[in-house]
Amino acid sequence: MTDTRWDVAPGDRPAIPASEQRASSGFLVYTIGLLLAAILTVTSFWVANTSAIWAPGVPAGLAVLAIAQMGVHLVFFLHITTGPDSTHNVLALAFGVLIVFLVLAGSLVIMANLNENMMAHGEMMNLQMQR
Amino acid sequence: MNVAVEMDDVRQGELLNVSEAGPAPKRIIAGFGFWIFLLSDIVMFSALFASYAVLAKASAGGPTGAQLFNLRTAAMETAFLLLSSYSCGLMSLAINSRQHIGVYFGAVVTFLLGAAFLNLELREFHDMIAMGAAPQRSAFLSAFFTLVGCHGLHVAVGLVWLVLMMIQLSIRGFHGVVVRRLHCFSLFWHALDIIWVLIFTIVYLMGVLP
Amino acid sequence: MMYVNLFWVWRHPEVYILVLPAFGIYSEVSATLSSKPLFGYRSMVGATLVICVLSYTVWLHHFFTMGASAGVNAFFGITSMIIGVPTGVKVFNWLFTMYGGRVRFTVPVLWTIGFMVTFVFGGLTGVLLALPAVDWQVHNSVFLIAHFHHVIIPGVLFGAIAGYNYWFPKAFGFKLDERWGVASFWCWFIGFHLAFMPLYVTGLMGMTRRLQHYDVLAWQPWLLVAEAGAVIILAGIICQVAQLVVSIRHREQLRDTTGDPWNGRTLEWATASPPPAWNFAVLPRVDELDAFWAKKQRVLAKQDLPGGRHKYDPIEVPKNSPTGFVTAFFAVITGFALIWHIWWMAGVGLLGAAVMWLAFMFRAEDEVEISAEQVGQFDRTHSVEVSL
Repeated sequence: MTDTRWDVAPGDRPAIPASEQRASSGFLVYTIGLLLAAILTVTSFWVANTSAIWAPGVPAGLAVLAIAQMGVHLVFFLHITTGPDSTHNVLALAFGVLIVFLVLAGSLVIMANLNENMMAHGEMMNLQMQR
Repeated sequence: MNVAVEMDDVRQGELLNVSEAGPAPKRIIAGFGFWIFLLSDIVMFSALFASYAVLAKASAGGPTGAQLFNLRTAAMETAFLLLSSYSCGLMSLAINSRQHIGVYFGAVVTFLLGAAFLNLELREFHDMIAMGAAPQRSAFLSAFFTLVGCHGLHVAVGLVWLVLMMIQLSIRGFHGVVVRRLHCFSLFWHALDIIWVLIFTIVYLMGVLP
Repeated sequence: MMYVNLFWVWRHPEVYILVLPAFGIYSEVSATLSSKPLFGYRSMVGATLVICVLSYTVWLHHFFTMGASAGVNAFFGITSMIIGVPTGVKVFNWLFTMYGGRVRFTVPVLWTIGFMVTFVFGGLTGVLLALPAVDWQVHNSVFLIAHFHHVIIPGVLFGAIAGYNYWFPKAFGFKLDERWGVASFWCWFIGFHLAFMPLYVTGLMGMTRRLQHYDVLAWQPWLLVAEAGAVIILAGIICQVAQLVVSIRHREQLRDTTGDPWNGRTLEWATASPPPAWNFAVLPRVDELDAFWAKKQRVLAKQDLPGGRHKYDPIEVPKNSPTGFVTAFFAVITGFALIWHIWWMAGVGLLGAAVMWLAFMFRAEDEVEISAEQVGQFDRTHSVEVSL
């Protein structure tokens, strides 16, 4: 089989054979991730439906909870770490997040700005009347 | 003469510095490549999110989000997808341990939960269209169906992919390329759950706020 | 407007995606054919990274006139001007690479110099257009057409042609005919300027883009000059076709026997032309930029000895597949069908692509192993190219 022979590059530290890995450590990671995500989800639903929080702050609170839950997914399920193998993934993710931010924020700002500069309906009626 | 020199045999456990270590193992390269694809997919979703955000209030006198969205359904869909992400994670652990039974069990649970999610979503779409809230009714509804529908399409494709991967696993066993493809699938599935977190927050939860 | 906004969010970074690879080609060509290392390698990389980020912050300059307020327009106007800076850094680097070098005026270098002379002026008109007040006057006039052709043609097209001439011998084993190459360059260079410079004038005179006909007499002399330019460009294209035909006919005289027709600096020139599927018999050891050049200098100075290859290992390469090509074919069918709402055709396209992916997914082998004997035999029969 060629694949196992070539899967280790020169200088690569040989990976711990799967049989020697403690299965429990992986299980714990996923379970903690699930619990955290579940807590954040339930909290989001509660925030949206409660009157206990100052109303203008609710969207901000929901956004924070969503971002926190995305972080939980990234770390616990997608294994984004600061290890050397993960560096490229982190950099690509950072660039992706930058693009997403620019597209979203830019589009919202521009569309809001364009909307504000739209002529009001009343003005159009006046123009017609003036003929 | 040749510019190349022969690489000496590397003693086990000795790490060369990055410029001498040679190409990375395939599992890392495949994961990184798929990660870049996922990021491009996320950029596409961000354009759909931006459109939804701009058009969320443009209901053209028709049904609004607050009238249409059923938070109980959204909560169940969220639970299904989150649990399917969890079962996908357990499936990844079984793959690492090369246990056939564990992998098939994890895959079946993931598939059933994903299918349940799709079922709820399709029912929701059907009910909305039946009561007149079709994609053509208003810009808000067009944006809603495009964004949520696109996510649902990704879930459906993921389910088909999962079935194909189980077929391939049964034929070829834990061949290197099969393991790498399963790793890519789990990345895909977890990313879909991340997108769903944003959907249920921005579309459903913020949609029903007064 | 949301569609326009999203379109340009994509389309502006896209033009940088078009031009950055061409910039890379210019870096390679200018360094190799001046027999000098690339000037300011780190600033070149830094400028590329800056362009990568800044290119996502300028897109509104494509719709300054569509109703945004002065503040928003000003922001994007400023970012559009800033993005000229890293590009300027790169142009200076190429200039300083060639300065003091032994420049060989071969066809790739002609295209590179043509690029440097033309692109700078095109970029300057871009800075003009970055001012919203100016853009309001000339938006959607042929002034704009002249500007973006003035950057894309020297940037992307000249770079593609320079790269085509430069790497053709490596890919196919024989060089392209030099005289037809020079002829095609001059036709393109002169033709381009004749075709597009008049458009700046007519644009300022009020000529809009996408006209089916025009009836302003004052434009006619300029447009006749532009037409002459277009004809000369056509002659340039014919010269390129002739270049290819003549080169194929004379390929034995033009044969690249050393694998290194340009006295190259980089490692691709240390292989046979065309290279084998596995490129290098043994992974080269790279300690510096321009590794091939460094090795050649050491050998010439007798500080290094040419070594014979004695031990070869089998090499694993990916197995060829038509999947990419076939998928692209079905993607064209699907895209076309979706535009015109031909649903059955869209289904056919998707189905065809899916069948191809299934075949690819379930193929029995993903890699091919090239035996050590085959690698060794190729190395021995091509000892001139793979050694100095």
